[in-house]
Amino acid sequence: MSNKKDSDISDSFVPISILKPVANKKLGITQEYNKENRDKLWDSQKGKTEYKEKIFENRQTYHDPISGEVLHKSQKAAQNKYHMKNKQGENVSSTWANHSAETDHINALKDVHNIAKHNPFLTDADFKEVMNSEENYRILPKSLNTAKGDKSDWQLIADKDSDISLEGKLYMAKEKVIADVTLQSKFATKTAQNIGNEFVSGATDTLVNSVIPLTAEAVRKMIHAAQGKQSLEEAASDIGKAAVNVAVAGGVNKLLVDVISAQTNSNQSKILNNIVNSGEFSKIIAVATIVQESAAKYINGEITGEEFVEEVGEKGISMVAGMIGGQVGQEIGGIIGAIIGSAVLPGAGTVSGYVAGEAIGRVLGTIITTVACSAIVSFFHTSKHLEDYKLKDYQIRKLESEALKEIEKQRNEFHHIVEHQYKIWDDTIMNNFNQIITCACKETFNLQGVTSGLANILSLFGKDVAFKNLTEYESQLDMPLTLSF
Amino acid sequence: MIIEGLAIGALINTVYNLNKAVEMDERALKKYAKAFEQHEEAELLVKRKAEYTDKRLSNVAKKKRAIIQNTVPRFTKVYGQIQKVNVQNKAEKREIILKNSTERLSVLNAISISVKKEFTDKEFVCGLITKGFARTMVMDSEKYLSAANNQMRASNVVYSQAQSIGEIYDAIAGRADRIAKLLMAMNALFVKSITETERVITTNGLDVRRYSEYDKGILMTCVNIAVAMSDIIDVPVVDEDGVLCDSALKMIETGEQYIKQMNSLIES
Repeated sequence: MSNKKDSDISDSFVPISILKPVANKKLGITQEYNKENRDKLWDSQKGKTEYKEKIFENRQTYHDPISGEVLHKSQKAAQNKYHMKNKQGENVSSTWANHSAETDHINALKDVHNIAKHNPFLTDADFKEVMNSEENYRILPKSLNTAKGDKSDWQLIADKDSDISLEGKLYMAKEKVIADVTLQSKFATKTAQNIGNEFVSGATDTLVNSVIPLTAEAVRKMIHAAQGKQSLEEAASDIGKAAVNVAVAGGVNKLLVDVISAQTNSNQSKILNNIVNSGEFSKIIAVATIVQESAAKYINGEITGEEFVEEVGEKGISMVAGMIGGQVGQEIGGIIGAIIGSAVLPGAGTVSGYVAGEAIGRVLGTIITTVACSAIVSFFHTSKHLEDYKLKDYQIRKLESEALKEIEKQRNEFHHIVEHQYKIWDDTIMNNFNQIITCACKETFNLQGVTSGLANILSLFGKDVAFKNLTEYESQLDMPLTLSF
Repeated sequence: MIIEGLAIGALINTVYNLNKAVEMDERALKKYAKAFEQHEEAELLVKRKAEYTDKRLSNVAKKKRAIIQNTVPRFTKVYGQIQKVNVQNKAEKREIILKNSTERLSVLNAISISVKKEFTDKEFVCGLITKGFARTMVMDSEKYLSAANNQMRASNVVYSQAQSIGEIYDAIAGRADRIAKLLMAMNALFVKSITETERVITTNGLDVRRYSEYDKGILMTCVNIAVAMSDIIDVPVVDEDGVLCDSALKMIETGEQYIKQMNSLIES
């Protein structure tokens, strides 16, 4: 590492809370979605107009890669050219709509609002800014925009009866992925910024528990961001590029892996706990799910930091390719596979290199610089214990088996003891009663036999006869006889 | 979003898993029902045994009372002519011993109720992300079924304990019946002996020293039987110093320990 001071810092902690505070931000997106709120708070006609101007540049027409049609910048021009009205001024044709350009949101405001409104760390302004990013805009023919209705892009792509060509669908998929990742990244960045500001307002420095390996350069970028020398977003995209370059290059360069081993004292951080427990926890770390398996393997020590970055790079490419292939249907999956493998689209480079590079870059940058790092570790540990009930199940089952066995064993022993005792009883009583009766008969009277028979019966209770012989009996005749009943 | 793109392929698996989850919930409910039913049966088993044993003990008490109220006064009247007889009453103390001993057996440990611990929000979200919605639902149902199975297992142990308690009641009832039978046989002997004694005294007068060896033997036998009767009547059915009591107590305590451990595990 070139900078020892940075190295010292990177070995200890990254103080996210040194971010510039934004004063008086009103957190929380307006919950109700309607036309009035959309127009007032979230839509941007200015943004759409500027985007259209940018795409058309100084031209009046534009070749749309999705529909394959030539689109006119001006709706009036399209209507005139494609004879919407007859000489009498009646509307006779709607062909013009296939050639009139409109700026469309790739991810619809309504769809994203439905999800983002649950994030307590975004504002209406944040939402508007992110949703009107260039990456979320595209130019579409008016007719396609209208026909699309509520369908998602993936549904259009997967629709075999759609008029959109294969190349058009590929282009749509590429734009969709970029838009998705950009929105996720930007929302996550905004969330982290706002959270960071919340920390500044009351807490001490926040320590991030990150076991995700970072390159030395990435560490320096983080420090710069934390010290305010670079914006969080700039740092994120720079870090993303650095990681992608290494991965694409095949991992030949040795990475200087620095692990930041500071701790998130999340028990004291109400904010972090709120994030973890909020309904939008999954959305904040949604981007991280792309790499979660790799992150888990790294946390478990199954792969090194270098392998982690390489794996994420590979995984990102195959994930993007898999999405496109899967969505367009099996019969053209093979064609897509060939395209992704080696084909070149005119003017856009390889699909995998361009799309994956952008996507992975932003993904990595987002993971590294937001609380998602601690969230990955946190939810990884939580997910490990999701099935603890199975262990309890096993313990109770074992205890039951042992208990039933032992209780039954003792019950059988008891039964045996009882049977044995009662046999002794029955035999003793029967034999000695027989003896008493035999000896008590006048003809065969035997005082000793009667007395011993009685004595034997009484011995069952630990007792004995009162008088064993006549001498003992006669000696007490002058005293009262005491009996207890 | 990105995740959505993969959803289509997982649809069939989701439906299958949701069906599996519903099936498991039904199985869990049935298990709970069976577990509580078995616990009820265990309590009923003990109750019935206790009632039966109570009847057998009452029978012994009846026999003892009959002897004390009928045969003993006759003996006192007949034999009292030649020697003073003091009769002391012990009935009240005996009954209390009997009552307390059997009451101790009637109480079966209450078992803890095994409930499924709901996922916390965090666990639920982790489940959604790491295992997907359908698998999380299945896991939730598995937890429910697991809780129900544990209830069943606890109930099995309780039922076994009830059977052990039943065994003790059977032993007590068996001993009670034997004592009752012995009392009846001894009473018959006693009555016969009193009759013979009366004949001897009527024939020979009140001066025992002038009786023959045979006649003295009859008197001595009558007194021995009287004392034996008082000893036998004094013997408790539940012998707290006896070997039966020791092994019974050991058996009950073992069962109670296991039930206690089971409850701790379930509540953890």
